[in-house]
Amino acid sequence: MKKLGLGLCLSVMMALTSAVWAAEPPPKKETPPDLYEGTPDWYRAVYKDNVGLKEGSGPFKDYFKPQMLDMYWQPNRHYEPMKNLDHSLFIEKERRDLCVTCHEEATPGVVRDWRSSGHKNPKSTPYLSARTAEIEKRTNRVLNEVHCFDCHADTKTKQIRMPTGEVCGECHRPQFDDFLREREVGRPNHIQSWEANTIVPWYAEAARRGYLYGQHGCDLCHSGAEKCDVCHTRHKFSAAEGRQPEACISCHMGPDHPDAESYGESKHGVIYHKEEEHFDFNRPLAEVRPGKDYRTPTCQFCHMYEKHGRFIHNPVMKGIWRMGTVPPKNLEYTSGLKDYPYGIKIIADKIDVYSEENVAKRSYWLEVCAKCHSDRFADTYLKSLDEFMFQAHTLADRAQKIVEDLIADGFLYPGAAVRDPYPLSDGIEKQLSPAFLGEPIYNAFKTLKGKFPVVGPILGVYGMFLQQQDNPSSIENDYNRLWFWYKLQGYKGTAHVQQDVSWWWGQAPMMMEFTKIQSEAARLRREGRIEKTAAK
Amino acid sequence: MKPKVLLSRVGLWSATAAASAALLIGIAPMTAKAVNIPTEVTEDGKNTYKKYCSPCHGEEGKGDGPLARSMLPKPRDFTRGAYKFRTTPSGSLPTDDDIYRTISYGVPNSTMIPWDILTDAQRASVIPVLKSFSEAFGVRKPDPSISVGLEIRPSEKTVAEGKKIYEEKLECWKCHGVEGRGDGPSAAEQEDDFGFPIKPFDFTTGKFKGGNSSSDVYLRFTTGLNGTPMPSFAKELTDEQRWCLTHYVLSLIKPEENKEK
Amino acid sequence: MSGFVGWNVIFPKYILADKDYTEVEVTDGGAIIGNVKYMGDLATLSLNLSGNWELPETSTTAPEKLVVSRINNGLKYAVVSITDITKGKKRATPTIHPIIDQQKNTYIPHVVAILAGTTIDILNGDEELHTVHTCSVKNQPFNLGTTYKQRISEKFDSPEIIKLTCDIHKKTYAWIVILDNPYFDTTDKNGYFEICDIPPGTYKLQVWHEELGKLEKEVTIHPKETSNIEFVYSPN
Repeated sequence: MKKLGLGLCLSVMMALTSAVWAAEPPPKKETPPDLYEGTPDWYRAVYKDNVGLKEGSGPFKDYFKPQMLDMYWQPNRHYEPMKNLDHSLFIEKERRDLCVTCHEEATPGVVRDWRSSGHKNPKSTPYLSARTAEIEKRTNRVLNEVHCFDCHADTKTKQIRMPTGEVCGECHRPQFDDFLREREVGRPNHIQSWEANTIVPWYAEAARRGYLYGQHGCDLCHSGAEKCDVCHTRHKFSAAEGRQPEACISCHMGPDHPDAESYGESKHGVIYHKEEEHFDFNRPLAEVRPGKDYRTPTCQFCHMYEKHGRFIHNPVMKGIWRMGTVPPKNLEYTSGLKDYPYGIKIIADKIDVYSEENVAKRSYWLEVCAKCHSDRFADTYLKSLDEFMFQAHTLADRAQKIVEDLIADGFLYPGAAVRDPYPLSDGIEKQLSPAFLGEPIYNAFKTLKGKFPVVGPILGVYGMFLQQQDNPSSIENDYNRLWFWYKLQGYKGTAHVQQDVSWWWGQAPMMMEFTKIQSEAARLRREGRIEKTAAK
Repeated sequence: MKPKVLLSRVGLWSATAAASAALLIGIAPMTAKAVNIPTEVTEDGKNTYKKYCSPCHGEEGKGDGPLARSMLPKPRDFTRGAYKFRTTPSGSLPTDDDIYRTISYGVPNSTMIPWDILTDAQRASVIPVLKSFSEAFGVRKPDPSISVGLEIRPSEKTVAEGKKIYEEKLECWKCHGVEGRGDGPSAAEQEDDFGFPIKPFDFTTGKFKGGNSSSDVYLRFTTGLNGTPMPSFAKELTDEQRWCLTHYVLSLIKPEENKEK
Repeated sequence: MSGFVGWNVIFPKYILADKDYTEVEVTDGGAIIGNVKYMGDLATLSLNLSGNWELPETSTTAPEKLVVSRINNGLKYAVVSITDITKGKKRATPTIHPIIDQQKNTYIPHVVAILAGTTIDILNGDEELHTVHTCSVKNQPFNLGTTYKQRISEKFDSPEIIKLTCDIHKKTYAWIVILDNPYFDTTDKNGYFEICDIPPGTYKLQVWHEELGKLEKEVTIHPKETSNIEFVYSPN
């Protein structure tokens, strides 16, 4: 009896303990972080594979060389290890101490930044210790310090590297995976920003005309694809810094997306400025108590909210209007916009504002707004935004019709046949296939060699990036300003509740530009008629 | 084992021999006595210099390597034969051991790291290369090294005596400031022999460029720092006075302010 | 013009060094006398008060960079020397050491010309700390602190032009011009110089001044005759 009892106890104990063991499965073997996960091979070949500074990126890579700073702005593709001082011995012998000994004199600001960072002191507060413990568990490492060596030393090639998101993602995997999900939404986003920069034909065309470094501003803003130090800057990498609106404004400003201006001077922004020191930026967004920790929302609070109470480490998931550029499906168009996107596969299709997906996204927006506003107020406001956009697109459509009719009636001067073709037409024909461009556009390039006018979203915007021989003409750029600058400014002014930006930077200039287009068209028509008469 | 027992087991003489050997090794200064410093420039020396030294010090030792432009202080220009950290009197060239020591110890408060990542032989092979950069080594020889001698024991009295020398006799405060921060009235206008502005050292950091042991500091004002406005006070001070000044200078270090580590 | 300030040494190629020199008995030697003049306007030298503490009145003297006589435009502190003589009188170094003193924070005299192998005594006549700092290449440089009544003796073996500075009092400095033959002189306040016992022949005569640079003339010495040479610096 005793023996049986003992045996029973023992087996029960064993069962229990093995259940405990079984409850904790061994950690899953993760694939290493890859910013280009899921992309086709040809895409990786032109955006990720390292070529140093020998050739550009994207389908038109052979038409331009990268800018020197692209070494740091798109490191996977363009970084070249320094040749001045060979660091391989230091990496081989893993002399971590010497990094600091030299660099605290050579670049003291960097080392001091790091010394005050969470990387140097990952267990200095209970909050940091808890997060570090998570990372330690997942990566199976002990992390008492994250050192220069861990990010900057490529132990395989024994060279110094500039860390990309993939290096950060080795430890910060959840944030990395969140960032990857931007690809689900498509452009405009951060992860495809380098693609957007270099896939447009006018970039390469400007480069081959000698304007490569004029695009310094382009490359710098669009450098957010592979780098994590854009929002929480190096070498402090402070999450609190990343939660403040100022983290966004260096890029998110200006005539095509006056986010900084419109937010900054809206009531939301003004209250933020006034009460900034009372905001608690050390709290993770998910723990922020609206009205207590933040009196008004910040960029991050609204945009990094995904849905159902969850905050995600990217700000694009709820995007509907795509920066204001893409026309909505829900309107009747009189101009060529009715055929947008003209069969071209690499630009976005028309937006169905009332699709299931977008209605769901709108409801997620309302979840955020409802933290401070009533549901009806917020919904009414956003519906007004939709109405603003509908009428703005209608206005643009009318303007586009005037330009298109002018061209169709042969009054564009100089005509398309005698002026420079569309930027990089030879490259487009060579590098892009009907699969990208759609049959009609591809054939147009093939037969007309790019000598046709391109007006309106998206590809008509080339006129604001490059002037070629008589291409574009004045009236085409008037229209570009209307739909690419003033419509987008009106959009952001309305969306961010900045009434002056909405009207005087948005709708009013759109109207005035419309006037200009009408007058210019009338003048061109008159001159054309006079010329015809004189020729007789 | 108790000493008496040890002695009786091992024998007095062998114990003494063992103890002296241990003592010698323990107090042996970090010199190249065990390292053979070549007198001629070798291929190994040239390659080592090119790979690790020339990025800062330049291919011809002029202190103008590609990395030098953004560095402060600037890497040493070897062409004048002016070396700061030596055991030889003011103005004299350094001994080979002096150069070896500086390479191995590095120069704190500058980007010159301790080059112990290279082998003894590699470091020694570079020394003839350095000497070849200045015609001074062809015309003069280094003066004999100064022997440091026995330090007098630091006490409140020696520190006070050092303070008097610092403030009244030598007026060090005119460049180094009353607290030793390098902010004295003559400090702002100082230039080194190469024309670069140079700041008198801030003792409060404790990061003495020549090393912060007492004998290092003692040597600095005995030999002066060639190529800089820091003179030698060998003629002005007796041995004992120099130790007092050393103790006072070391007492100026303020550790709390520099708790960066 | 000497451009970069850091190089306080003018390369010895201006002074031909290490030429063979034979000592002979000079019985029928000639002499050169003359003046060095400067024909430009003198800007009034302004006092540049520097530093954060009150200067005693003793250190408000102006530097002696360009000292020109108002009477005959004579230039003081120019060193005249024969550069290419190969045989001449004995090279005797003086037994009494030439002196450079510091008084009222100023080096006195401003220029000392010596024969290679001479020892100079450097004094401190002020009741405060001075440093004496040279940065020569061929001669061993030195940088020494000196207190009141200190005497430092330094020997100079190689021909060179050396600047002697005090790092605490930046306004003052002196020049030590080391020559390899005994035929040289420094001009006085009238710009006057004389060089004697020169074996007859044709030589290159050179004058050096810290601010105005060098001039050169050819001179022919006849036995027991005195040649009169004038050097004129004109502003360019």
